[in-house]
Amino acid sequence: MNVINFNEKTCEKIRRYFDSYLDNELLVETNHEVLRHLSVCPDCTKVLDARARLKRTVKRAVEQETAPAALLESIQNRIRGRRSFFALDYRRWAVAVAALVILAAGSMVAVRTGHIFAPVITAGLDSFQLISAEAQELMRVGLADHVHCALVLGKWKELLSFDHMREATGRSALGPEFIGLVPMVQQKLGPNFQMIQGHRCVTNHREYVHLILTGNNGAILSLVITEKNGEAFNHADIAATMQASGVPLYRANEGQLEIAGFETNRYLVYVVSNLDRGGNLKVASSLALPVYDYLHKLEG
Amino acid sequence: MFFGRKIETSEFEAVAVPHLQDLYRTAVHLVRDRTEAQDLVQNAYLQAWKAFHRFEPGTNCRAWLFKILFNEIRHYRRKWFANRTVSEGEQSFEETLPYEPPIPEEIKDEDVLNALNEIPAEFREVVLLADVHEFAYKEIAETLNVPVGTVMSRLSRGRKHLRLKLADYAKAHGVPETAQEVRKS
Repeated sequence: MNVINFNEKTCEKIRRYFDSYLDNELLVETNHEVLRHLSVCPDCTKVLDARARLKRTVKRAVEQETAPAALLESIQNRIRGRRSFFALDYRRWAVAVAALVILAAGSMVAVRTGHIFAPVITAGLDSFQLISAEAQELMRVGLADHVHCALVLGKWKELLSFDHMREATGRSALGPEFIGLVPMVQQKLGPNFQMIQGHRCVTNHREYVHLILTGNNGAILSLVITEKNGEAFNHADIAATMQASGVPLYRANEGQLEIAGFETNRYLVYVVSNLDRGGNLKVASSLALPVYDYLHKLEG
Repeated sequence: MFFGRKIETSEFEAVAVPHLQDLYRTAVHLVRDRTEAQDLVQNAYLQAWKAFHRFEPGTNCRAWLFKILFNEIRHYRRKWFANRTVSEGEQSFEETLPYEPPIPEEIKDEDVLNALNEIPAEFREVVLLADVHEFAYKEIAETLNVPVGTVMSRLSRGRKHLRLKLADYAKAHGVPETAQEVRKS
């Protein structure tokens, strides 16, 4: 599977996919094709890396511009002046809107494609052969997002402040329901890890809540949360490696990446990193209970 | 709206105001004039407020606001400019370029902004919507009223324009060329 015949024409063809690849707009099969090519072609990887960097820079540069405070004031005056209803408490509305957002998020359906991409790293498949294909696929749900978003798109280099994350809007914003994970995870992991950013992202048509942290010696770690789509660790043919305060933890590894997973009623949660087995499990076990509780509360 | 009751300004503000920065940044870069951008954003908000009874809570307010803003911008352009389109000559020049330019290792924000402001508006708007606001292609297509295929080709050409501009700046600054992006042929 990792023997790929590629020539200059292949590079040209793959590069034509780069724009859509960077925007997460490729079909799963094509995404797979790009990743397979990248794993064997350093030239294209370099080109993609430079383009991803440019995309990030465009965003950062444009976001330096801020609207003058007078603009908001003027808009509010014009709107409020138009009609004078009795004023409701603004904060009550903010709460109602937050509830709507949670409802909307709850009704989002993650599209199950039935195809999980093949790993970029082709070594170390042995550990996967020990568990069932279903379990393997399930572990890759978390791995896919870490590899695509944190590593390939280079988000691990993009440090965002908590204020930035809290005030972010749009489809990559954590939003009021998940923003609380950021300080909680940072506090649980302590000073050995730095929170780089938290966002929502889409990989292979699946939505993720994604926190990225870095640690000592080049450690890059993702906490990846996604809504279940009929899957469950306890249904897959996979035995829990350990229990963290009553939460069963599952693990696998893929090349240099360690994956630990656990679940709530509605979510699959993964800790993926380049730490060693013990290190990754240690992080996962310290996050398992607080993250479980946090998500459990969201589930109501 | 809930039980057909009257809409409160506070309700509108709670869902619409959080997107003010995004709309303003887009307008600034599309009309390249801060005063005009403020007027356009203000008009867009007034239009949105008037049409708010048609907005369904829980749906994508940001995409809805962007669509209104782009209508305002189109109106503004029609009023003040001959709608600039890329001439055929320019297209073929661009497509026959022999190589992909290298992207400098260190890209200054200032250079990116300059490059962005120099590329044709219809490319710039797609780059802004995709790179800055991270809209899906389908949402961009709806916002701009064009097919998804057009979004993709404008985005690809817009990004290529950016890379060319940045390569030019780097050459002018005497920055060594790294991260070579030479097209193999």
